[in-house]
Amino acid sequence: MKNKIILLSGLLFILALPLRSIAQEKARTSISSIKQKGSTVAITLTSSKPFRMGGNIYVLHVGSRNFEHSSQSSSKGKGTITFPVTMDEYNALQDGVGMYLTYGRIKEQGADMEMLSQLKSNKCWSLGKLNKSMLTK
Amino acid sequence: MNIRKNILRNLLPALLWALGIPMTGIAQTTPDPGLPGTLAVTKAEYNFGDLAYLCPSFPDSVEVRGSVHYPTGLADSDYPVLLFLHGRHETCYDTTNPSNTSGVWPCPSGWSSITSYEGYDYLANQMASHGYIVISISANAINATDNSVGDYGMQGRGELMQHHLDLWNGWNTTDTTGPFGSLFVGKLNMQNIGTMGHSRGGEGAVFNALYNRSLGSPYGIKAVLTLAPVDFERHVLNGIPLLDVAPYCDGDVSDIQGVHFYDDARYSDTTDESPKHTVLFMGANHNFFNTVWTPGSYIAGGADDWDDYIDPLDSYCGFDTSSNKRFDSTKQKAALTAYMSAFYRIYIGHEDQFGPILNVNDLVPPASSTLDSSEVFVSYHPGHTDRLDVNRTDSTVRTHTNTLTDTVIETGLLTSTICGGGLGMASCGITSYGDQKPHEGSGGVLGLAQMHMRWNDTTEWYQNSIPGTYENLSQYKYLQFRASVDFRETTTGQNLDLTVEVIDSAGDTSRQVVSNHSHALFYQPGTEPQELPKVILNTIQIPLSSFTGINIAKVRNIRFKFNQVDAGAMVMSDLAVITGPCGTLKADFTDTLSGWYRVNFTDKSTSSKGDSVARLWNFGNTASGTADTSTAANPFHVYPSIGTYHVCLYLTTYRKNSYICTDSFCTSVILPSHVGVPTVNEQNITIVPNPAKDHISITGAAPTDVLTLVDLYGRTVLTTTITSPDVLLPQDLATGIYYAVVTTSHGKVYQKLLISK
Repeated sequence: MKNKIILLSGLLFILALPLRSIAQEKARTSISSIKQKGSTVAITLTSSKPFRMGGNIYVLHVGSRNFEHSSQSSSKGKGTITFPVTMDEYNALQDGVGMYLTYGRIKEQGADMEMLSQLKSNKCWSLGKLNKSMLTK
Repeated sequence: MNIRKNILRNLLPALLWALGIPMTGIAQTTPDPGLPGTLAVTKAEYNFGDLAYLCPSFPDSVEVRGSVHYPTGLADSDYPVLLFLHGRHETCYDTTNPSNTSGVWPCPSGWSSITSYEGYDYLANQMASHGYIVISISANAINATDNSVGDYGMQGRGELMQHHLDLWNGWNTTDTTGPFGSLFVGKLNMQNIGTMGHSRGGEGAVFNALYNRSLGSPYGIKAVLTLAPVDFERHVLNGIPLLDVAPYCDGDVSDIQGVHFYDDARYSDTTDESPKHTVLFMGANHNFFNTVWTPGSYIAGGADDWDDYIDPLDSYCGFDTSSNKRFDSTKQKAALTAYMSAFYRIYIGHEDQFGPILNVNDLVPPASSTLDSSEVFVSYHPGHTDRLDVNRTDSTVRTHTNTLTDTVIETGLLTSTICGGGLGMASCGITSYGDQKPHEGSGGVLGLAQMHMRWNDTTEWYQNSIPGTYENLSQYKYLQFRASVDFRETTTGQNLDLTVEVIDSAGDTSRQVVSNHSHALFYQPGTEPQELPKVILNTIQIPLSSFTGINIAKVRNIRFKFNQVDAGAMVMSDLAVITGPCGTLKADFTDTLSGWYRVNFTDKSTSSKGDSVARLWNFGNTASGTADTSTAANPFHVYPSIGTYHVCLYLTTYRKNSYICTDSFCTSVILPSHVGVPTVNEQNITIVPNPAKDHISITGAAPTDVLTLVDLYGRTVLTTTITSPDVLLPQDLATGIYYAVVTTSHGKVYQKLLISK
C-alpha cells in the first residue's frame, strides 16, 4: 500500500510538472552589496540565473532615479550586475525608497513598479528598499 | 452597374478577413525577391585577433574578425557590397560544457568565442547568389563592456564597421598583403554599400552611416536595414533609404523601439528624398533571425527570447499554447530573407520590379517568405517630392488645421485628439505600458503624434479639407495613411474598417472601403499583461484611380466615414497622397514641320521637381547614321524624303530616392507629299551660283543676318554672319545637296543648294 501511495504520488508529481518553458520560473534577484570605491558607489545585484546578454539594457530604479550603465558577469549559473553610481548621486538617494531592476527602460511616468515586479516575465524585479547602511568601503 | 456583383466584390474580402482567412488565393503580381540567385557562393573568413583594433571612441580593444560570402570566381568587377553587424549576445562558451556561457572578452582558456557574426550566413548566401559581396563582422568585445560606456557602444560599433570598410577598401585596391591576396582587387563597389544591424547592431549601423557621412562619405552607404534594433540614442538617419524590421513577439527589445528610426526621420529633413519602410512580422521574435542565437542551431547561447523572458503561455506569442501564431526559426528566416532581399535589390541592385512589396502596392507576401498576408504589414514613407502631406498629425493643432492649412472637422466622435507625441503631449491613453505602445513618447522623450479617434455610431466621420492650391491630385497615384486599432476602446477581437471618401469641388463623392485594400485595421493579438496587444501603425494605401466618378483635378475633401463597424477606436498618422517611386515621370513630345523635310521636336515630358532627366531621341531615320539620335532637349531632324518615320523619346531619371526610372513615348511622324521648299525670292534674297563650288554670293541680306548650311542629314556644316555678300564655303565640303538657311529679322529663308566640286 505504501509503495502504491509513493508510486501514485510520484505520478501525480510528474503530471504536475510544467512543460519545458513553463518550468523556467522567474529569476530571484536581490541586492548583494553596496560598496564605495573612491568617488563611486557600486551597487551590486545577484540573481539566481545569469543576467541575459541581450539587446536591451538593465535599469536600476531607486526611487525616482534611474541608473542605466552597468557591468555584468555570471558564474556557476548565477548572475551578477553592478551599477556604478557617483557619490553625489548616491548621497542624493533617499534611504528607504523602493528599488527595482528592469530589463528595458520604463516609458510611462509613475509606473506601478511593484505591480510590474509581480509579473512572471523576467522584466522587472523588486529589490526591496534602499538601505543605506549597507554601504561599505 | 451590377449591384449584386459589387456587393459581393466588396463583401468577400471583408468576410474572409473577419474569419481570419488570409487572402492567399490572390496571386502575387510582383516577382519574388527571396528566391535564390543563380551564382555559386564561396565563404571565406578573416581574423586579425581578439584585440586587434582600438576604436576611437570605445575604451577597449576589439576583435577584427568577419566572414565574406561572394560569387564564386568573382567573374565580374564592382560587385555591390553588404555589411552586417550582429547585436549583443553572449560572447564565449565553455568548450567542456557549452551550456555555460559568458560575456567576457577575450574568452578565457578552455572557452571558445560564440560566433554571432555567422548567424546571418543564410542571408549572405542569398545575396551573394545574386551577385553581392556580403561581409559579416564580429563585435563580441564591444558587447562585453558596452553597458558601461556612455552611448552603450554605439559609436564604437559605427567605427568598427568603418574600420572593416577601410580594410576592404584596401583589399579592393592596393593592399594585396591581406588574407585574400589580390582576390578582391577591383571587385567591390565601395560606392554601393548596404548595411544591416541586428539589435544593438541596428543602432550601430545607423551610427556608422552618420559616422561615414561625418568623414566626408568615403564610402557610398546607400541603404540601411535595422533588424529588431534598439534606438537608445535617438539619432535620426535622413538621406538614405531605411528599412526597420519589427518582430511583434520580440521578447528582448519588447518595446519595439526601432519604430523610432522611421517615425523620427519622416519630417525632420524637408529635403529628404529617401524612402523609409517598416516591416512588421507578427509571429517573429528577437533571436530567431540569427541562427547562432536560435536554440538548437548553435552549440551554445541560444534562446527563445519570448518564451524564456516573457511568457511561453501567451495566447499569440507563446510557443506553448495551441493558439500561438509564432514563426518557427525556418519561417522567420524565410520571412526576413524575402523582405531583406527586396530592400537591397531595390536600393542597391536597382531592381525596381520588387518595389511594390515595400511600397505597400502589393500586399501579397512573396511566396518564398512562407507568410500569409495576416502575418506581415508594411509601412512606407516616400521621399519629400513624392508626397503631398495632407495631415501629418504632428501637432495638437492638426485636429482642426491640417498640414495644408485647411480645415479638419469631425462629427460626433467620442474621441478626437492628437496624442502620443511625447515632449509634454498627452498620451493616447490606450495603455499605460510602454511595451504596448512603441510609437508613443512620454515626458521629455519624442514619440509619434497620432490622431486618436473613437466612434460609436456609423454616421460619424472625420474630414480633412484640401485648399484649391492643392486640389489637383492627378499627378498622384495613391492616398495613404498609417493606422492601428485602439484595442482598449474596441471590442476584443473586432477588426475595424471604415470608408474613405474623396469629394471634389462639385460635391461629387467616390468611396472606397479600407478592407478592400488593406488588413492593417486588425485587432492586435496576444494577452500578455503589459506586453500585448501592441499598437503598431501600418500603412493603408488606396489607389486614387479607384475613386471614380469624381474630378481628380479638383479634390476638396478626404473623409473617413466610420460606417463599417458600429463602434471602435483607432489611431492614425501621415495622411498623404503620393506618387509612385518614379514620381511624375512621363515621356511626351510634339513635332512641328518647319520647312523642307525638317521637323522640330519639343519635349513635353513631365518629371518630378529635382529629378535629373537624361533624354535619348531616335528619329527613325537610320540612314542618317549618328544623326539619327540626339540627347538635346528640343532637337530637330531633317529627313531625306516624304514618308512616315517612327520617332521615340526615351527618358531616364536617376532619382534621389535611389530609383532609376525610365519612360518612353513613340509616335509616327508623317512628312506629307506637299512638303516643299520655300524659294529665296519670297524674301528678295538671292544666292548664286547654284551649283556652287567654293563660294556663294548672297544679295538682299542684312549684315546681321546669319547663313546656315545644312546637309541632307540635318547636320550643320557652316554657320556664319553675312557680314559680306561673298561667303567662302569650307574647303572640305563634299559634293552634294545642301540647304542654305538665311535667318533674317523677318524670319527664315531656305534654298536648296547644289555643291559641285
